[in-house]
Amino acid sequence: MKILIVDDEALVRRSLSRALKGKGHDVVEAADGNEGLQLWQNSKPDLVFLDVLMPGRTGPEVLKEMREQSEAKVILMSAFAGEHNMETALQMGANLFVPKPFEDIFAVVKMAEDLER
Amino acid sequence: MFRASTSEALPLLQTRRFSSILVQGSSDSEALEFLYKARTLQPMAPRLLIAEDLNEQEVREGINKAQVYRFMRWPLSEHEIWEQLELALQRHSMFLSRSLLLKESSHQNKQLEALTHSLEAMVEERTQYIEMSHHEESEKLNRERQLIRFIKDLATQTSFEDILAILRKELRKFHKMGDPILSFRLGGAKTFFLSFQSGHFTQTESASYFEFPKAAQVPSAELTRYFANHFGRPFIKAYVVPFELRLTSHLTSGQGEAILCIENSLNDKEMGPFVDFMSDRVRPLSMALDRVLLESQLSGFSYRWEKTFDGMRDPIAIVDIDYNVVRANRKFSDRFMHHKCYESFAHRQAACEGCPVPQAMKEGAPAAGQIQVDGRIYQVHSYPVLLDQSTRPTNVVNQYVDITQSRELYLRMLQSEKMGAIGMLAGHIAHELNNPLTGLRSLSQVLLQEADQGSNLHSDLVEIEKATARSQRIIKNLLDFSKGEDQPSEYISVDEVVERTLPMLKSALRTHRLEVDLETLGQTVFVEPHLLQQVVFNLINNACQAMKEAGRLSVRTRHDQGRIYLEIEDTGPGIPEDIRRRIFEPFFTTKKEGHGTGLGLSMSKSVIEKFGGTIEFRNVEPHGTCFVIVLPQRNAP
Repeated sequence: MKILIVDDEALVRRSLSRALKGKGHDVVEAADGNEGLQLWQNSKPDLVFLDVLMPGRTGPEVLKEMREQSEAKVILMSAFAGEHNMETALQMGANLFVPKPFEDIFAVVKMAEDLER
Repeated sequence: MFRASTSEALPLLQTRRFSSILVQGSSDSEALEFLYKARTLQPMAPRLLIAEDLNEQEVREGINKAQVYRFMRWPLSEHEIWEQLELALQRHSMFLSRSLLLKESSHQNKQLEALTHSLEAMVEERTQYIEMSHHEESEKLNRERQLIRFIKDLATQTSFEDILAILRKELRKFHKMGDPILSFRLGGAKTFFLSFQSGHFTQTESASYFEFPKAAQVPSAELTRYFANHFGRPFIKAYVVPFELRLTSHLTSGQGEAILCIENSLNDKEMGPFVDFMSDRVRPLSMALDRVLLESQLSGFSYRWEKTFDGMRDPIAIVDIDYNVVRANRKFSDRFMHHKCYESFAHRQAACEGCPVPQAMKEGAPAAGQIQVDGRIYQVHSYPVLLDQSTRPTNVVNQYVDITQSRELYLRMLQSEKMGAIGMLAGHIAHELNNPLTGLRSLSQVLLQEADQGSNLHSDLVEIEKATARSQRIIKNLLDFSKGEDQPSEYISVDEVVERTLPMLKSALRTHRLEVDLETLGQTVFVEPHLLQQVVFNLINNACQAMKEAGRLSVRTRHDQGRIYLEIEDTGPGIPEDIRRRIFEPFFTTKKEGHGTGLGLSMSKSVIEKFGGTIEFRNVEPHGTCFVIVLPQRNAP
């Protein structure tokens, strides 16, 4: 499975990437919204991990553009739990909402895999 | 000695004085005749007769007519004659001197008698005079005595009724006297009448004006009519006396005047003593009535002032330079006399901190300051009072405005604003921290998968993972804690709240030994968790601050008969006796300005009470304080 990770926090990208690669997935990483959209165009991923709050284009903005072209699965992540939840994420067209920090990275990976199945 | 015949002797007797005359006659009748003549010529010379024969009749005649001193019978010797003569002379000189003395004394007697007589007259006159003047004096004394008694009686009276009653009683002795009527004006348009109407003391008033006479007099027909109109009855004859109301006039800016009207039917002869009587009494009466009027006016004024001040919402007191309360309204204190303001109002032993009185006294200008009394905060406005025109005020009027509520509101607003800001800040920080923490924790979880179980790397990674997890919890708590209101009550165990709170106090607890003994995990209370958390946070934080040196902090929970007990005990110095009563008061703080709002414990108390619990504290041995929170146990339905 080809997976795109869009997050401005390097450690988040790195940890997710390590966990996903460990499960045998292809992973591409983008550090902000613009780069994310670009990689999205180029690599056509099956699943996107998208952070909400990023410099430049925010997660919801990126999501909106993606949704115009594709039905690929999107998991919205946020550390600012008060602002978003599962409900608002689904309304924006995301398939799943994961609050940060993760309790268990492998549980998140598991949920992502379940989503694709 | 002369010898002569009777005829020769007669002219001798006329020219010379003899001490004695001795006659020896041939004819006794002739001798007697001579002696008789001799007696008329020289009555003081004793006369002796020598006769040969004397009958009784001749002797009687000789004694009676010629006052012959001694008869001698012839013949007799010369010696006998001399003897007789000498004796006669002796007797004669004795007689002479005696008669002279007698004469003198009788003369003196007469003079004495005259003197006595005139003296008696004088005494008589004097006595009469004295009696008269004594009568007059006693009359005068009596009059004065009566006057003094009258004045004395007046001096002790405090009402118009009593004063007029005294006058009324005095007037009775004149008969034909009506009751006195006092009429007065105090600047207003109204004229007041005080009288006895059918024996009862009555006050009436009239809006019509009549000029009062300025001297005592029988009133004009017009004035009589004025009285008659007012009382609705005829006034036949009266006497009016104006009174001088010096004190009252002073108070009513020169407007006070009064007259006394006494009805009477005295004739002209009786009028004199009555006028005297009245003129004696005008001044004391004036003064007494003036005094009573003044008292009634003043008490009216002071009553009005008192009511004005008592009606005010704020405590007000007039205070002198030594903080003695001169006057105060009821709001200030019921017992202020002979007390200092800080004693009666603030229950202190010394001037309150922030008192503006010294400044107002010093500068002679209004000053303001804030003082704390029994947990309330007063804005004190001190207005200097210049009673005399000296340069320094001796009194100030203090107005105490209770600003507790507004200040509380203000501080609460500040607090909630601050908390709001902290909440926002915490949110941002949490977000900023959560991102790297997410990475850290996730990465350590990934690495843990890869590391060999039992290796050093693995156990290191476990520690890292735990630390990140703890960091996350702290951030989450911080977020919950700062979120403030609007969180619903829930069933939660006190132990959980304590456990959530302790990590936030790590730094405060660093220097102290922490003993945690939680035994109520299975029992819940129904509270708003973040509020209870704030209380626990406050109490532990206070306990840590109370321990200046390294100490021991114990946090214990237990349950007993449907109640959950949370005890937080420190080994600090304990709470001093003098502030024990006040520590739950809002704004009471022992911390320095800016280091505490003084709201912590009062808010804690109100929070705990809101949850149906209590909060108390006790000092513990050897030193330290233990706060005990008791909450009702509530199990989830």
